[in-house]
Amino acid sequence: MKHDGNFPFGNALPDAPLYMPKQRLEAHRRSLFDALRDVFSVFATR
Amino acid sequence: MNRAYIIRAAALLVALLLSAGGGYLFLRFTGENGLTALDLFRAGLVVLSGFWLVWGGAAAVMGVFTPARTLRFDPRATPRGMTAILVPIYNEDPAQTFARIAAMNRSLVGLGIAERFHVAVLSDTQSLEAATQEAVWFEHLLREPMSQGRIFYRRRERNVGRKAGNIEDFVNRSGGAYDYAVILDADSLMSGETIGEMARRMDNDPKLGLLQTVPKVIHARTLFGRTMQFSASYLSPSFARGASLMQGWDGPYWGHNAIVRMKAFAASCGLPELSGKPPFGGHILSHDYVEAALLSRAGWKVIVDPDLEGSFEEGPENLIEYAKRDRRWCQGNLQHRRLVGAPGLKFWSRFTFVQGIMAYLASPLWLLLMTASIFAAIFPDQPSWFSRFRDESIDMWVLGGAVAIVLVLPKFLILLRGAFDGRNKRFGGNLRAVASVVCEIAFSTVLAPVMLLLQTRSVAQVLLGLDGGWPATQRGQNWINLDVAFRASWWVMGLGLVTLGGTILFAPNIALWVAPAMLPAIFAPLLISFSSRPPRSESLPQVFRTDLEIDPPPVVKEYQNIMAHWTLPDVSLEPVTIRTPSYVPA
Repeated sequence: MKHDGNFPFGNALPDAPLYMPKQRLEAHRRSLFDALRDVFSVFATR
Repeated sequence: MNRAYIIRAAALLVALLLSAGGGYLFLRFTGENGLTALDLFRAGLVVLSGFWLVWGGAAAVMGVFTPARTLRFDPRATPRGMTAILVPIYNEDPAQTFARIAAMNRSLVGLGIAERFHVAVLSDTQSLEAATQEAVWFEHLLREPMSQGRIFYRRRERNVGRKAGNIEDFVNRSGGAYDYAVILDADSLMSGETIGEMARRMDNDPKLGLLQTVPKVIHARTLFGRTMQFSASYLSPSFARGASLMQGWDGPYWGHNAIVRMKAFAASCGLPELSGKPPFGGHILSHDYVEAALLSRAGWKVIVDPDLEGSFEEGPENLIEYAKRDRRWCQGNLQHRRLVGAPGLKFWSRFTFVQGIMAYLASPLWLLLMTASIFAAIFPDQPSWFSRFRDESIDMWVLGGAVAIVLVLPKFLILLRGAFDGRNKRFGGNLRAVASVVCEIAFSTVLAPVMLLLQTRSVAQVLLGLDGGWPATQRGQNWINLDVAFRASWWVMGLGLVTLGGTILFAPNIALWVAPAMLPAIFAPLLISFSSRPPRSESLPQVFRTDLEIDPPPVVKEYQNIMAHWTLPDVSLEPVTIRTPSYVPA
């Protein structure tokens, strides 16, 4: 809104970005398929 | 923090022992002729539900015996850090919200510390008509003292991530300009003294990530609203003081009337969308508890201070609005089951999630206990599993009395403390305080079965995968006529009639015990309508008087004056002169 030329109010919020990284909240669960793929990827790279 | 660990362990032990004792008393009551599977099942429910009941009571009792702290800095001392006061709004009444901002701003200007505080109104309002109204009322705000370059407004066209997304959007765009952020709700009101105090505490404790106040409810008019207002003013501080002893530096965040350290918040509280669809996947609804847990995980102190006065909010004025809000909270809390096992969280944060989940699961558990008890009375000839259980039987009144003591004792202890430390005088004297507490107990007891059924429905809806969405709060909607009340609660009435009727027909020996729970359900429409009726006269009612009504704080009076002025038919838009309000101490 503050970058809009039609914004009616003279004072806009300060331009001072602060990065908010997304947090990891869900434990990554390896499926059986993931485990099998890891095993076979060893042979595939040989 | 060793003290918090010891207190937690002690409270846990008390809750475990007393709930186990409750289960044993229940077995003595039911197991006269040997224990059946149903008896054991019900005893299990008594222990599980009783544990959380005692846990809450233990916090209140601890709070009664904890002295209030009076750590204060000079109210005129200018904080070192810059603070953004964030007011996220979503289809709210802009006149009221902006009048509250004007009152807070005047309070800060009067103290001479306003230059360290900016205000950002963060609108997520989706209706263009409402957004236009916001722009009109913002003009009023710009005529307030020192508003130029300090009070801002922006609107998002899409409310991505709801309130948490709204705050995140601000942090992403402007967060780097501020050291702290006071996060408010549209109905929040805080005195300049309190806002300044919070910023100074942040200045003086570099490890403090979040400081939460315990807001008191103001401006309630209906019986329902006034009961909640009295409870929040008179009883809640003791409950919160006891809880804060247990929480230590892993305290709660309730999403508003709190201050956060901007860099800590930005680095720790970026919330991802959960995998899957709502109600358990998607955006995190009850984001505040999660943000508190994330700050704790990152090593920041999260503290609640119930002794910080000057923090206010408005509450629902009738049971239907309360139930709508509760439905949202229920979905948010049950969604936390996905986060109990989140990596790296402190044990206490996980426990807090479980506590929040149990706050809603308790209702279906109590209902299950009642249903199982009716079933046991209708079918008394169950096979006995432990026929050698021959402890002397106890009367049902003993069991009922024990539950009543757990529920009522903390409230009477708070009353007793108020008589000794003079607090009751601020609530109209000892007699009025006693009458108010007794009426609060009576009213909450009568309303409990209706609330239990409404909460059970909410839990069932969430478990069935029904997303409640995010309905805007309808503030200031008071009276519910009987027709609307009936349409909202006919099923509660029906359940009450069927249950009581069935009990009288098939198990008349327990009808006397079922009746007190089901009669309020049968009269639910009447209760909802009656308790939402505004008072007939403007004079203060005899019961449920609060200190804030008897002697309103200056910022509340200022807000009322601004509202009265702004809503005049031909309100002028002249700039308001910068002045020092008369209430500011010299």
